[in-house]
Amino acid sequence: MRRTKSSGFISEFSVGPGYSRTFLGGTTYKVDDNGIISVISNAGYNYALITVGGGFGYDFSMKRQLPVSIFGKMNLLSMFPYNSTIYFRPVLELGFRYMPGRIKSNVTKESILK
Amino acid sequence: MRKLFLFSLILLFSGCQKEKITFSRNVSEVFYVENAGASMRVMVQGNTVSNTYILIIHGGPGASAFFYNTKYISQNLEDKYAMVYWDQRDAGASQGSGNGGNLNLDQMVEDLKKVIQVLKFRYGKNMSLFLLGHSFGGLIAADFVTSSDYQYMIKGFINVDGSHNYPLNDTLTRQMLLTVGQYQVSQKRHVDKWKPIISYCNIHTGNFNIEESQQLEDYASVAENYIDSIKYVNYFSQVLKYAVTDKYPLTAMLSNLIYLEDSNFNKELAISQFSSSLNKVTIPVLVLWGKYDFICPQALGEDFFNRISSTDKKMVISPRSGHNMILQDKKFFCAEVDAFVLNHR
Repeated sequence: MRRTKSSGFISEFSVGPGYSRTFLGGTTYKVDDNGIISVISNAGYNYALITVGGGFGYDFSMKRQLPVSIFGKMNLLSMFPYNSTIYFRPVLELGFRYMPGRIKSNVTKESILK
Repeated sequence: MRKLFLFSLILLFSGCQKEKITFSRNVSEVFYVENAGASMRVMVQGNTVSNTYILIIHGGPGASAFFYNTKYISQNLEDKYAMVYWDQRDAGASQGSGNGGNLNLDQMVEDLKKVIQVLKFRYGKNMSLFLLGHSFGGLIAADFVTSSDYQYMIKGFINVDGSHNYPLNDTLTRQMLLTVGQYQVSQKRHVDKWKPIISYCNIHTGNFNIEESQQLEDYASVAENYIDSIKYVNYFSQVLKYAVTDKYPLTAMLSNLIYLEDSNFNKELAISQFSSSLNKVTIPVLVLWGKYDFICPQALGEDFFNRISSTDKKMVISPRSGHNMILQDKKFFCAEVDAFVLNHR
């Protein structure tokens, strides 16, 4: 859920399910009962995800006619089953959005109003 | 386009898992050992040309081998030997899925055996391998060296403030807290800190349940801070010091630690003891102990030392340490380990 005020200030909040596939950062070996060792390819795990996040930003298209917005958002990912528990993973997003259609639609509205 | 993107992703991640086995004086490589629902991270750092490896069995349960990879060890042991930092199941950076049912001592001993087998597979079956067990790691190690003929997979065992008998551990912790606490009070040192500890020990005299055992351990953890001659270890600062450079997976480590502190596994541990089978141990053994270790008191180390059948054995006490000699008396620790390994590899 994202709200953009007429001033350009953005606030957002999100909740959502997801899926994560991890890939282990190194060769993974398995040893059978006879002591025979094999390498497991693409070793990793599948996790269910629930993500909760929120953040703020600024939309330059509202006041400054630039089709760009910047934002910072903090997300908390919960991955499970991680070992025998839940793994909470904070993720910080910093970014910008380029919205070429935004200025065109604003100009069109202004033209109509005039 | 989408298929190409997916294929590229798979290729990229597969590259991360390419087998890399290096023989040099300055190795740093990571691999995983998968067993019974857990993928345990193993990091090898140091001198693999030496053909001599020291495998650390960390404490906890639920701590991490990351904490043992200190700058001092890197500078004073890794130049000579290869240090092996193994994260046990449900600990540190080890991953897995719904593996709580496999959390028991027998499984951990099997895990250790397989880690050793993989080490020998990678670096050569004729390697000189030493186990170093600290605290809870001493319990896994005691179980391992008294199981079947597993002790002959290694050249020697280094027991650093390790517990091989949890019920005896509790009894000795209580005794030490009482004895040292009463002396400290008589000397008017930290009286207000010692009084509740002494009071608790006077009330709870034996046959400790799990809550009492945990309380004794909590008191033991703080008690060494009331001994003025012991170096205070600020674990939070330690973590902050190395977390970024060594890329600690902090939230994963914390999740695992919190889980293990409350798990039913602790009920099994509370009654675990290997004193009665230590006579099976015949390999060379070095026992290193902190004089002011309340968590695993010196008398516990003496019990271990006296029961093993090894003819080549040595016990040395650090007068400056509590439970964490690796941090509190690092020069002593590295010197003793170095001398033992050099003599027996």
